[in-house]
Amino acid sequence: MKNSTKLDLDLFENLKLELRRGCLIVAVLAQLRQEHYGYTLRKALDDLGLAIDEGTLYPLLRRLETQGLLASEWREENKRNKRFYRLSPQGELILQKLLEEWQIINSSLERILQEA
Amino acid sequence: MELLDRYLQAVRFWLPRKQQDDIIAELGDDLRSQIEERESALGRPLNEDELVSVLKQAGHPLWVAGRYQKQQALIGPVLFPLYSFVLKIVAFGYLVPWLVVWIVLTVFVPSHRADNPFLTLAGGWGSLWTNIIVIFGSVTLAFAILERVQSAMSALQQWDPRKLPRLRPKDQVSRVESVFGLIFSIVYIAWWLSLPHYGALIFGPIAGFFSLNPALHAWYFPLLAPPSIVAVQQCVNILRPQWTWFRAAAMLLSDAVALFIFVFLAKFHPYLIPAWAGNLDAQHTQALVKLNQVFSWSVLCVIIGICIAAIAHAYQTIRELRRMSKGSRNGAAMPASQTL
Repeated sequence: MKNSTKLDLDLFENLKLELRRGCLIVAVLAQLRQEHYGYTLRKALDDLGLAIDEGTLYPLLRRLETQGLLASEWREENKRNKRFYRLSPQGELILQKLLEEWQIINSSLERILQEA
Repeated sequence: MELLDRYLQAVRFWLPRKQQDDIIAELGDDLRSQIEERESALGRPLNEDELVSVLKQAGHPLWVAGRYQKQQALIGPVLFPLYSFVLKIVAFGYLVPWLVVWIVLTVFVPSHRADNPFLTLAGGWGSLWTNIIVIFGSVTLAFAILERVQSAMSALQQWDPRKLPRLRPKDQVSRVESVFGLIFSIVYIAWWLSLPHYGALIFGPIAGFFSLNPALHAWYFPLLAPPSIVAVQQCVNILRPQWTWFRAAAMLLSDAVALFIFVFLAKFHPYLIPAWAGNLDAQHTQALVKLNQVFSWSVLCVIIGICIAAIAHAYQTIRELRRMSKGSRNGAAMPASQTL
């Protein structure tokens, strides 16, 4: 009985990760319409209810920058060098398209859940 | 902050060289910001335990560095089904025959057994493992290279649904297959029955010098049993093609009978003897020895072949019977004709 409970929890964690993966990209892109460095971005997302650990955020930022969706620059703030990120023009276009997709998926899901 | 520097050093070790400075600077700034925030909330510097807690929350250095790696899998999800399929073919095409040959040689060929059976066993398994590692390693390496060059991707994108294999008739033995199989079985049985009258068909020009060991004559008619069982199965499946379980079971029965006969036949060495009581000349004596060796190896190969076929047919029989029992439990899922 214990095993099956653990298995279910593992399965739930995996599915939750899959669900969050796409959402996090949209959330990060949307949040970076304003300039942030890593730590403040994490804090901002956390304050809005979407916690994300540094091990997930920084590789994601790096990947989005490589894909041309973000632009970054190193600047000194509070006597320390920090890397500031902002949405690139290409990122803005992609974000707009992603948000449209998100709206479609969200409304479809709502209809499905209402039917059920 | 020595602990933090040690942590960052450990993460740096696992990072791609070109990105090390950049990533460590960013990650270090994040961790320092977290520590400063906690310190300002507490109004004092963090003690070692609290610092450990921050670092543990960040994750193991290997895990953290791993998140920055581009390629996570040696063989990606696109090629993995093909990789797994090839490995299965290698396993069944090499390992199973190897095991069967090894068992047959150990059981039926006394010269194969060394004085110390444990040494034979260890030596046999040693070479098996070496071959497994080499074969599986080569397949894995080939797929890893394919994954990197991504040549499979273009092939997967340029596919034509019209070239997909034809739909196989579900849960039925093909009537065409049964008819042709039956013709072949009848021809084979007729050929076998004609042998006493046309012995030269086997021995050709040497028929005058050699003849079969008389002990083998008793096995002449029993050897008709396996092809007769198969012929009956083919007749039944022409009338009842949906009886897939019957084909599997009949083939297994035919394998079992053939195996039983050939294991007995293997004991009647020499299979060929001089056709008359007098001594043969040196040339014919040498030919007789060679022919008996060829017969011995042929019988051994047939036994191995039957063993492999029996394993496959046993698996098919179990699968068909399971499917049948599942079908009968599910009621409508199993057509009545399957059981009638």
